[in-house]
Amino acid sequence: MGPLLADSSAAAQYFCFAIGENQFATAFDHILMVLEPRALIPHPLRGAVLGSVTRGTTRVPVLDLAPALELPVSGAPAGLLVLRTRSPILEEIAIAIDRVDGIAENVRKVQRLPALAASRAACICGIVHVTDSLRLLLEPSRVVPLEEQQDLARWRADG
Amino acid sequence: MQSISAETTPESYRQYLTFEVGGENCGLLLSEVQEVVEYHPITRVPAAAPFVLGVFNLRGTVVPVLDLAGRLGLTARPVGLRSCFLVLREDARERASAVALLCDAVEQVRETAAEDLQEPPSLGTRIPPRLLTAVVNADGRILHLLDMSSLLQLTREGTPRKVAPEPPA
Repeated sequence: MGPLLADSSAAAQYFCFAIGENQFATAFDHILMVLEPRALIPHPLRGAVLGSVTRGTTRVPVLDLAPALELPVSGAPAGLLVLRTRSPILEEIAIAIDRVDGIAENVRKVQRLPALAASRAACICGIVHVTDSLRLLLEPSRVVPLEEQQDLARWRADG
Repeated sequence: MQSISAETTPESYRQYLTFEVGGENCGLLLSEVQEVVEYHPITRVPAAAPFVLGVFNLRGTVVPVLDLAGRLGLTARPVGLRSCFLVLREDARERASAVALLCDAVEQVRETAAEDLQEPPSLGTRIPPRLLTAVVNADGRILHLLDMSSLLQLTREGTPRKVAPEPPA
């Protein structure tokens, strides 16, 4: 069994959502806002970038996680989750989600996935024990690989 | 088929837990099984190693679940009332953590004499012989005794963890 995670386990609350049949959670302090799908300004650059949303004066890229998670590309998303990252290059990203499941306050444990069940998707960095179920811990800073963050930041700045 | 010599199975009798998976009758050394747990929903892990169905919570421990039918080259049956997880002992086969196998139904604990163990036939079984330690004629049916080391080996090899660079501070 992996050790407890140092970064996200400190969070008091976790935001729970689903992409396809997969149940995720992320520390609540990563959440900036949840938007309706109509907020998406489509501008497909590559497969994973669906477009952008505007948050104040900031343009935030919206990503489809399905390719990174090796899931079939889903249809229209049910919502757009705008997340704060720890990266100074790309401080905010948004991801398309299929369902909001609510906020979990009674998180008992956050830990790494057992080595045998580790995911090749870098953004899945652990498992969250929420009441009677387990949810995959999503780390927003790892959704976009470091080498691609610069490209997206440039695209965002170009308007 | 040829009997396996007593050198490979020093005890004259061994106990095996027998179970059904993908329509085949299989067995594991009872000493390798920690417990049998009733099926309950699994948390899927996207982009995990081949044959890893996901994880489940066993009294606070996150346990990976392997698709045993798929690993054996069999067609998985729909989950039913008798479906269950065989949780393998943590210290068996030098594994660092517990592992569970999804099977269709647990049958019985069977005591088998060393002289009844036969080499897996190279032809005629749906399960690849390299994944078996032996077969036994069990009341007219073939009981496939599984080799856990081989079963888990490919799954472990198929776990290329892609480590992302740490985000800049």
